[in-house]
Amino acid sequence: MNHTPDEVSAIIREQLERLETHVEIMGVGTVIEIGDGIARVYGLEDVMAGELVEFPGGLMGIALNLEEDNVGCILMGPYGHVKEGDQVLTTGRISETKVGDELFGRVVTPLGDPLDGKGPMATELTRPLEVKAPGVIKRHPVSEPLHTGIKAIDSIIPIGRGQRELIIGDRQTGKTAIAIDTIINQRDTDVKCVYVAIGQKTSSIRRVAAILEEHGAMDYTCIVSAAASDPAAVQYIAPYAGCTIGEHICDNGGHALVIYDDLTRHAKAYRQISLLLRRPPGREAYPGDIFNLHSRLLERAAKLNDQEGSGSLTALPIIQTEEGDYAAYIPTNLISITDGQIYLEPELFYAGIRPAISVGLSVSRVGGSAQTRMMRQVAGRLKLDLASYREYRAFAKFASDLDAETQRILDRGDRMTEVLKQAQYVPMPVQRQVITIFAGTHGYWDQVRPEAITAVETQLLEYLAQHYPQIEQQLEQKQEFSDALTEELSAAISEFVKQLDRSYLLEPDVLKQADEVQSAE
Amino acid sequence: MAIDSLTRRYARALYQQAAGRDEQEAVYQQLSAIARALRAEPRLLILLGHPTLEEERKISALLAIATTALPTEKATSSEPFLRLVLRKGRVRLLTGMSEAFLDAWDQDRGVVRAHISSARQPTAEELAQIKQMLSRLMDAEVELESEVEPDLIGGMSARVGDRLVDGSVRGKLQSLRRAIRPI
Repeated sequence: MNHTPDEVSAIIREQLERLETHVEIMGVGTVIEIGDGIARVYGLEDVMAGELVEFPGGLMGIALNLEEDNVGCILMGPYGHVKEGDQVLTTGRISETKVGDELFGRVVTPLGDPLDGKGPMATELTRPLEVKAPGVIKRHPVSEPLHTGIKAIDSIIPIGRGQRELIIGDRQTGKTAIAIDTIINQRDTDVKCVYVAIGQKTSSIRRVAAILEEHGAMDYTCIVSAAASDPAAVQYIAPYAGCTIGEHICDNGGHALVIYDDLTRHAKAYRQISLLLRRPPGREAYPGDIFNLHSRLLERAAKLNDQEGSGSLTALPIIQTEEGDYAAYIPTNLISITDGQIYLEPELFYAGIRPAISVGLSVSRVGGSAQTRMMRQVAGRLKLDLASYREYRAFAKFASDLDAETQRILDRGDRMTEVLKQAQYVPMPVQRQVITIFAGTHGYWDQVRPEAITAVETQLLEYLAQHYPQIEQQLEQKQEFSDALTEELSAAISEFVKQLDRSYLLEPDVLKQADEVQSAE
Repeated sequence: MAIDSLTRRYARALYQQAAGRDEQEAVYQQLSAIARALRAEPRLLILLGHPTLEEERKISALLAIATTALPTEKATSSEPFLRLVLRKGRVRLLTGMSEAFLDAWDQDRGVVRAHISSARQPTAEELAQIKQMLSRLMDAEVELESEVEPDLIGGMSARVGDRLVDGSVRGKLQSLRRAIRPI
């Protein structure tokens, strides 16, 4: 049916009359001062603490200081175009970031905008950056292990789901390597990973992304990038954004692992913001709430109880020390907040003991309850033995003649140190870790030259996979050693040692000495 | 203009005194006359702040300006206030005090001041409608100031205190751009 022109206009007029337009009401303010990534705004009477505010050109800021005369805002981007007298609008939203499964496999800014050129972020979900950590009632004690795939950690300093374990060490001691290995090791698990890069070189972030991609770990990992060239405000909110992304997984009953690399730079970014906002400086010019800055972030790591969906959020904060000074301000703060620390020593690193984990200074305060039974069975005394070995080793430097018992501790220690060495990017399944540690602690390597242990160990695992695949399978299923299994494994390893190439073993005269030592026992 | 807390304190004190005597109108007239003069002639500030000039001469100058707004006998009532401001060296803040005084007065009367920008000159009828709408929205009596701003393209925006009611085409285009930008 055709409409006459009159009818068309009438319809339009009718529609026009019924057309409702939406009018926005916003709070407004005026920029009175801008610079150093900080703006002071006059007005904004109804602004909330932590609210997102909008400057001209779509520049976002967060209102941090609500003062009598003005509001201090931190700016989330370049602010060259903003002038004194410009209008600032409130948004009615507390600072938030995007969350959801769509973020995994992506590199994003702390506000959830993509940085990897893989198209727009499909998620509509957002969550506030700062929320209160789950309370006592909602929590469950940490009881499930989160395997890092690193022998030295899973055996000596076990990490549980929902734990906060600090990785601390000087620059270039392999802190990030541990974090990356841990992410790679979650490949066949239900753990989703968030890697938060704070104040790092863009090239380093790119490298991490490439490594994760190469090892097929990017699919379940989200990289939150706040590079060194980003404003301090962006670096300041980055860990909270990463935590929020992980928390979304945890609250929906999933398991998340968040790595903050690193919080030293985060503290520095926050110090910059605080000083520019003229908050009073305290020790080392850090503001008074620097402890709370990190404690409220790390308290959000949790293992939730069954009513809450039994999800978990594990946090691995990283701290860089200067010249091994772990008693400095920020490191001690974090050591006291977290449930333990993995201390990396440059001396060990340069001696070729990698990962360069200091057994004496590293600790996991959740510890054994987050370990599988089989690991507890083989590694129960490992930490103490290794710590005493390190002490003996230090003294043995001065001694020319050692008694047999000391010599035995030293030899065993040397070998265990070798056993715990591990190459980068090759995390090991926990049942294999258990086998290698079993071989070490039960003295099967006592006649093997220490430097050959890494090679022998690889051969052992191949040998067992070929001839006794049921051992590994049973360990994986039962997660513990029965007497029968212990015997079977002992027999298999003895058999393997017998057929071992002579070049891996100690010289005969040394062997004889070793025998004497054993018979002396 | 930004009003700092110090200015607000002086203005509040003056307002409370004026309200007690029920002479807000007279005091405001004088204060705004002085503020106008200071804005028109910035050199007046230098004169009033000059250390060698006697206080009496400064006061008489200020009172003379105030008298332009009101008969002499009423103007003298603000003399103690002006003297205090002079002694404390806060003459510079007088322009702000005039605004802050008006704010305090408005708040007391339950009046809000709305600044309306529109693309074209609104008719008297439209202004009345806007006034009615805003007073419903703000739950207070509204006094309008209007201004034509062709940049808005169409519609109007109203600013009431620290709140902005944006119904302009420009505002809509901006929010459209905000919605599109992330992609």
